[in-house]
This record gives sequence, C-alpha cells and structure tokens, in this order.
Amino acid sequence: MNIKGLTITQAKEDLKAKKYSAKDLISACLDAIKAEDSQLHAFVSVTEDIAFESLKSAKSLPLYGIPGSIKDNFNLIGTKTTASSKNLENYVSPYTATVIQRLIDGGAPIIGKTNMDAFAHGSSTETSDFFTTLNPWDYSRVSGGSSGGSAASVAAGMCVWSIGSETAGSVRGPASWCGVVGFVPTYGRNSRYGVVAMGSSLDRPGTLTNSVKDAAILLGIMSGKDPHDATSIDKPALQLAELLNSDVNGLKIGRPRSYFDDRIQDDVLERAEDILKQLEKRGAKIIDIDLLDPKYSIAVYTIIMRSEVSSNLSRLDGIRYGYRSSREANSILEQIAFNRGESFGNEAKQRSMTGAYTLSAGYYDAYYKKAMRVRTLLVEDFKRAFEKVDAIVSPTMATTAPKLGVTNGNPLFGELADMLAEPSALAGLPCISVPVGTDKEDLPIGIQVITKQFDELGTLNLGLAIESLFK
Amino acid sequence: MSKLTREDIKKIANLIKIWLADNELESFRSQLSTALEPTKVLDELPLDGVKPTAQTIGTKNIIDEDIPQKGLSQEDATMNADKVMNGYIVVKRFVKNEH
Repeated sequence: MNIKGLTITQAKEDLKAKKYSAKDLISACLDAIKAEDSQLHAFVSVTEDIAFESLKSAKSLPLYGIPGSIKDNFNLIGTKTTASSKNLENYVSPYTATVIQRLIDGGAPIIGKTNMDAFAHGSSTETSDFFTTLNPWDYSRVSGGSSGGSAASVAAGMCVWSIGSETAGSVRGPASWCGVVGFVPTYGRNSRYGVVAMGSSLDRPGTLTNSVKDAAILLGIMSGKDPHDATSIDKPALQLAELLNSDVNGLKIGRPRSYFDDRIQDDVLERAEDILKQLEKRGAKIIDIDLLDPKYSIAVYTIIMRSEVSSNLSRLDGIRYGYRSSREANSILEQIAFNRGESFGNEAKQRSMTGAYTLSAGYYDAYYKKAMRVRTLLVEDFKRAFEKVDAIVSPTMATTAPKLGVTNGNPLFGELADMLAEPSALAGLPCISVPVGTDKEDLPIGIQVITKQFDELGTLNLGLAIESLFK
Repeated sequence: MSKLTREDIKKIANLIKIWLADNELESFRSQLSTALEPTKVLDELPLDGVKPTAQTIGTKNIIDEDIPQKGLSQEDATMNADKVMNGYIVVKRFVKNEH
C-alpha cells in the first residue's frame, strides 16, 4: 500500500471506515522504508518495536495508528539520539523530549529517527556525519536541511508526518525542496526540552506534513507551556484545527520587495507572483512593503547562531556521554579536546570556533552585541510591517533543490541558502511553507507565509488558502 | 575587524577545547574569515540608542516552586559514560598527589 500524500485526517477516516488497520498502516510505512531507504537515507534508525507498541494505547487517541518520524535531535527514551553526529553516535536517550512525549501520549506510533545535518548545522543534510539524504523527487539532488530526513520521509511515503526543528529555515527549507508542508509556530510555542540544542534563542520544534490541517492537528497536541522550558509561552496547547478558514476576502498580504528580486530563481519568482495574483482574485489585497534586506539577517544570524552554538556544544565533553577518544591525554582538558576534535565534523568545528571568536573579549561588542542590536531592528521592522498588513508572503527558498555537492567548500552555504527564512527566524514569528507545484525541471516550489508573533491561526489560514489553490 | 591569523585559530580552538591538527589551522582560518566577511554590512545600520534583543519572547526570571521532583536515577544518568565504577564516571586523574 502506497501512502504517499496521505494526511492524518484521511488516515483517521480510513481507519474508522476499516479501509485498513493500524497495523497495516504501520507495516506499509516499514515496507516503504525497506524498499527505498537504502538509497534515500532518510532514516538513522527505524523503531519498529516502538511503533507497534503504540497500538496498545487507546484507539480513540488522535494519532492512534498514524505513523510519524522524528528528527534525530529529539530525545526519545530507549532510542539512540545522535543528531547525525559522530560525537553522539552511541548516545542512548535516558529521557524523552516534551513534544515527543505529548505525541506518544496522543497515540502516535514513532516509526524512526530521521537523518539531519549533524547538530542541525546545515541546510542540505549533506553535512550529516553519517550519510546524505537524497531528494525523493530527484536522487541527484539534496533534500534540504537540516530536517532533510524528516521532509524526505514524508515526501517518500515512509510515514504520514514528521517532527523537525528549525533554527532558521531547517523546517521550511526541506519542506520547500521536498514538496511538503513545513510549519513552525511562534518561538516558545513548542517546548525545546529534550531537543539537542543549537541556538537556544532561535530553536523551534516544527512539523513536516502532507497538509496544512495536519500541521494544525500536531500543533494542538505538541504545543503548550512546559515547566521544563523557561522560554515556553505560558499558555495551554493551541487548538486550531477546527478553526481553520481559507477565506482571504479583505486580507492584506505584504509582498516584501527585497524577497522578490533577481536573487530568486526565475520560475520560483513567477510562481510566487502568480499565487499572489490568484489570492488577489479571491479578495485579498496585495501590498508592496519594504523590509530590511535579508543580507542583514544573514549577518545577524551568522553571528548569533554561531555564538549560541559554541555555547551549546560546550556540554559535549565526551566524559559524561558522547565520543571518547582513545588517544592518551596528559590532562582532563586535553582529553576533552581530543574527544571533541576527533568527533566534531567540519561544520561543528567551524561554527563553534566562529561563535567563540564573536563572543570573546575584545570582539564581543563588535560582533555579538552589535548583532543583538540589529536583531532589535529586525523585530521592529516586522512589527511596523504588521501594522500595515496581516501576513507576508514570499518564496520560501531562493531556488528549488540544488544538486548534490552544493555545500562543498562553502562555509556559509547554510546561512546563504536560508536567506529568506532568517529574518522571521530571528524575530521568532510563526511561519509555514506550502508546496505550490513544480518548476521547469519538475522540482517542488515552496511559498512561505509569515504572520505576527502569536498569530499561528493567521499563518495556517493563509497557508490553507494557498494550499486550496492547488486542490 | 582585523584579519584572522593561524595563532588566532589556535587560541580559539583552545578556548573551546577542540583539538586541531596543525594542517587544519589554515583551513579553519580561511573558513572563519569567509564566514565573518558578510557581517561587515551591519556597520551600514544606525544603532544609536538601540537596545540588544537576547530572545524574542520577553520572558524573564522564570522560577520553579521549591518542590522536590524525581530526576534521572544514578543508573540512567551514567548510562552513556565510557566507564562507570560504583555509580561514578571514571575520568583521567586531575588532582595530583603533590597537592
């Protein structure tokens, strides 16, 4: 049974109508993995037992029998949580991330842990320490990253949904390149507890699904205050799935000029303009707006993310857990240096070192503090924009999926590729990428919607409207 | 923003305890320089009186009630260590006999 494109909503109906059983659906996912994953490499580990174990839970639970995958930076007790890194290759989770526990409590069968750029440091999945996840649409191309395995696993019909994480574009980017819906709510809406940290002021768990409504369903289960995460929003889970409305009559949609220029691939630009015209026909008002050029966000993000990375990765000493070098060290500090030096990939090293530099005495003001101040300008830039418009629409990525090898010799590939996602990432705004057809080479194009802080309903509604243009 | 040198790379690597081979120094010097190049554009923006943003949600000083809660067992907490003895993680000796 091929489950490509199957939604949670449809699967629930099918299970109720006994079209197939929950066991059949889980088996179909496992069969798809067996058939294709040796080539695709979406998964780091497959958790067949855990998936079938979930069938002991109540049938009335919202995700009962509907398999999903989770990015391998989410701790799940009893599984290896590697963050696709050599350092954590043998690390077994002694606890479960809050958002994952909530999904499991919702009956979810977890089918496996998906591949990613190591420690989420990347936008292609080529910098996984293990293997590259290929794009299910074209095996000569990357799936995107860092949630590449998650996006590919859904696009390839190996599961119905997936949990990814985004620091700046790591859910939206692979969603766009793999032709699925990628949704990230406001920073703080989904708990970060139990997620291997990258940039703590930026990281957001998100979802990769086959429909906008599915994103809303998962949000309703995952989100809400978590006492384990001091930055989690002090509100209960956000229940929006039954409130979605695709009517755009009277909606004011901002078209940022600097997101629609010659840095964008021709047919991606064309498709985005066409979507805006169609929304206009349905009663929306398209307003050209000026936002700060994404080049400033690239600079801010590079500094802030790398600074936070250098701090977050300092816990990986190889003493309490993680890779321990067999080299003879003269001191414990030298032991730690060997452990890290031998197990960190190039990206982990170069990002940690850049971040240490930008935080160091004599450079902190010129780099980190300056970046934090420009971040204030970016936040205010969006606030001003949302006084004029209800939502912002643009291409998600400047191009469609590039060929394998694109990251080679490019220490800034990630930051440049995620140019259009970084501004909203720095401002922690809710956003969604919706697949909107394909380009000349039959590769998926994604369009993103960004709304103001806490307005997940606005994001999902406009996402639904765009999705309905293609159904 | 001064030019990065190999010595800078050595210092930074030592700061964050990442051992690098000598033949890696030039590669990282080049990568860090490339990474920092685009950050020059921030000098184009007016920043007088602009306060820094550390995180976007504005939460401050979240304090837990002082109620004891169950954490990881000693067994779970040490299960990923390379070598464990009597519930302790075994490490290289770092307190010398002379002290």
